[in-house]
Amino acid sequence: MHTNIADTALDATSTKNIRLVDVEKKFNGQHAVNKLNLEIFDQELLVVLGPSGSGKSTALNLLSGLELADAGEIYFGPDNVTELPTERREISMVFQSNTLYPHKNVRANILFALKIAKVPQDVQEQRMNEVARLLHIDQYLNRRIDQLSGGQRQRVAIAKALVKRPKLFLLDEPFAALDAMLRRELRGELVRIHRELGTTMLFVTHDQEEALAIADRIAVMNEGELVQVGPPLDIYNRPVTTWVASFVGPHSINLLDGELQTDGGKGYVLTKAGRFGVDPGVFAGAGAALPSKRVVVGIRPEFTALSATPSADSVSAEVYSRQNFGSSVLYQLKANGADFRAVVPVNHLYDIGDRVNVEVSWSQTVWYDPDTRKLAYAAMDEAGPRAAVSPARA
Amino acid sequence: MRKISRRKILVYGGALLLLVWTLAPIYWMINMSLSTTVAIGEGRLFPSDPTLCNYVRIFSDTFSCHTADGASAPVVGQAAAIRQGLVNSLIISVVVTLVTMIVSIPAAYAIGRLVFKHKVKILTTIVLSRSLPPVAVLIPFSSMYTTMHLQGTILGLIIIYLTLTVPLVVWILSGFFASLPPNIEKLARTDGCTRFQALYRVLLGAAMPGVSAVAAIAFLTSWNEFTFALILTPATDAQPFPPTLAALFSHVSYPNTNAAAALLAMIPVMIMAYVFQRRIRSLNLVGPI
Repeated sequence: MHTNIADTALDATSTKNIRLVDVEKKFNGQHAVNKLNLEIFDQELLVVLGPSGSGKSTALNLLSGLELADAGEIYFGPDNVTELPTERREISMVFQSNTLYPHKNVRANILFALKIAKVPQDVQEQRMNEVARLLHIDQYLNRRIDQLSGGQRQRVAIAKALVKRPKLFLLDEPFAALDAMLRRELRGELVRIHRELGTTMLFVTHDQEEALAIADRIAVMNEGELVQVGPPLDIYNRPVTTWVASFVGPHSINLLDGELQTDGGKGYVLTKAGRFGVDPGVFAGAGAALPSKRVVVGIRPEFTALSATPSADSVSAEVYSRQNFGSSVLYQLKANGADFRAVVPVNHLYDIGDRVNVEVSWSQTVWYDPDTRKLAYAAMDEAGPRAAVSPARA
Repeated sequence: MRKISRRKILVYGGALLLLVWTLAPIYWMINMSLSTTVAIGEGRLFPSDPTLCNYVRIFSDTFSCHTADGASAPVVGQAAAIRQGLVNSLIISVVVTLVTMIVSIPAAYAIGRLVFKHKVKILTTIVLSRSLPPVAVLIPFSSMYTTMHLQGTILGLIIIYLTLTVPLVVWILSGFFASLPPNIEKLARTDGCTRFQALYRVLLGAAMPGVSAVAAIAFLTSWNEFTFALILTPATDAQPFPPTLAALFSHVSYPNTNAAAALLAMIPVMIMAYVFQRRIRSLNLVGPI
């Protein structure tokens, strides 16, 4: 079986889709999940992203049946599974860390679910060899669990989950306990396996980098509610609230309160940091979308440029501190006393205390209504970023 | 290099000393039990006249040993009491072990794996109940047992031994349960186990090393118990082996025979220590808190 799933090839209409409809779950009178409506497309890798307490793990437990919903319905394809106990839902799950049977060796761990399901012996062996090869654990099959490293254990846990060919594969922060290098390695494996097998996966994480890196689609949750669902670039480029904008992205976004101004036929946004000259197309678009002149403009640090010489559109700032990541540098700036972050390539290093001029790549900015904190206008079009990512790189 | 080798000498020297300290008396008992002449302080490492006659003699009312000088040692005449004592001890220990495990496994599971109010207080109470010296509760137990007609019965001893084993086993086993990976019951559910199968097949399976080790501890606790047995079952049919042994010592002034009888009491201890040494070592004796 070989299926290729690109971001755009998701089948939103498949009859195998898994749906949460108006699902609610309370703990001690508090909504852990409130009116959750979410569809997991057949064969997709959906990442549920949220901070701790956002309800993302509860959502996963409701899908697994380890928790039962207080209200609402859950469908696996046409089947209503709302009240179905875990063992009859045909799901697999990988937990955060070290959740394997300590008294069984790798082989017995992988085969356990098939034994319970009374799968014939020869089929068991064949399927185990398949997943063992897929996860590169063939040589550890006879080891005890305590003889494996953390990374190997998670490989075994994934193999164990895949061997039963679940309708839905749930992963609850599976790599959170691993070190950064190993985490990236295993994420890569997971994406490759997902492409190869086409298993429908729901992956829960609090790590936005992880979500952006592996997801077909991301569902962002906060305080028990679903805030935004969409492909990673959509979440990154068109966050629907200032909260999502702050939560998602490698560097924390600059959110500046400001006011739209026109001066000599040119559009500006006046903020505490200074007066930025805005690209005419973006200015017109934002102006049309916003209910008033007041705005919160979102500028990602990675879509800015610094230069030593001022321009008509730039704002002057002083380097407060800097962090060099090798390929890029994060500058923490003070512009008229306001904080501003810029991430730029290491072609010229500014020192702490240097004066710099900030330029913004307006085609990648997001504009929010200051009263509702909701997205009014995103300069990025639906298709994603334009060819040039940042002016500094052009 | 020098530091490491000095450290090694200390460690292995210490271990050797401990070994000699522990094993020397046992060795001497074996030595004596296999001889009719060797006595402590004689300094002979092996019996000159190896014989099993000491073992035969404690189970016989007629058989006697001939010492090296040709004289005949007196007949022991305690065969019935010794046999009865061994049988009683075996019955008591097996029943106590079974009941202890039936009661303690669910309790230890709850304390070790579930979240509920006052958990720590409950565990502390259980453990503290074990810290009372047996002698302190003997008087109330004794008078209570007299009115309840449990004085001098096997059932009475079983009940009182459970007060020793259950707290100990719950305490150790709850720590063992707590040390098992989190979520394995949930993992079992996603593997297709029912709620009951998840506990029975997976959690109990994973806890088996700990369970068998604490079962051995429960067995040995009742097998070795002396104080309660001495006071509650004096000169009755219910008397277990340890007080019988004590009676034998005061009755027979023949150390080689006494050594053989004492070794009988040690046999299950040695077997269990050997079988369960790895499992007992793997227990998390620090407890769950």
